[in-house]
Amino acid sequence: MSHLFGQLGSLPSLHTLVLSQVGLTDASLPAFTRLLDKANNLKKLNISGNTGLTANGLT
Amino acid sequence: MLLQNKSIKSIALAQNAMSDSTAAFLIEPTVRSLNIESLKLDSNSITGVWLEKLAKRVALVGFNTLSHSGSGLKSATSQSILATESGDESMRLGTSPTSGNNGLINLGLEGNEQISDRGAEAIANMITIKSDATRSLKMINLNQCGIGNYGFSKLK
Repeated sequence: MSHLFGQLGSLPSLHTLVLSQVGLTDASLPAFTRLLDKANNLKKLNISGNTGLTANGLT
Repeated sequence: MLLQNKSIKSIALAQNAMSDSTAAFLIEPTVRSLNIESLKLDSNSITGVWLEKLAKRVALVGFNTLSHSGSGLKSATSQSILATESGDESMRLGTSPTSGNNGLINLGLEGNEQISDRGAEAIANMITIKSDATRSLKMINLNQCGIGNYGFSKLK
């Protein structure tokens, strides 16, 4: 998953990211955060259905 | 993370088994980062207590903004809520209007069956308060939120 995030981060035009029900957990957040840091044009983020992800980790 | 990425306008966190305590961490980013226009929290375990907290925080943003503009508070509801929040650390974290950012437009809460009348009353209070965080609010989805006649009467 972290490799995928790295690849996605190299897309400067990334506008929408849907990662619904893919088993994201708080352990995924470091790589995910790096992706968000790079994705300057990301407008829509859908991470529904990932029950292992807490809002605490997101913020 | 959500505070740092200023480009994100829409976040969907449906069916994430989110409780009040976990969803509480979303209140500050939602209210302070006025770039978030759509927040979907459908089918979680959020209750009316979370909405009461959100309404209180929204009231604080309204206070800070209005005090900058010098127009003063007009809502008695705002004043009473602010009175209960005085001394709150979040008071120092208030935001000011940011050009180009609308604040929340769409809030999805469908399927949170414990929102109940308590949550409906909190929303009713929230939308009567002048605040940058809700000045553009157009849609709140309250389907299947366990709201009864009392709650609906408050929302009228």
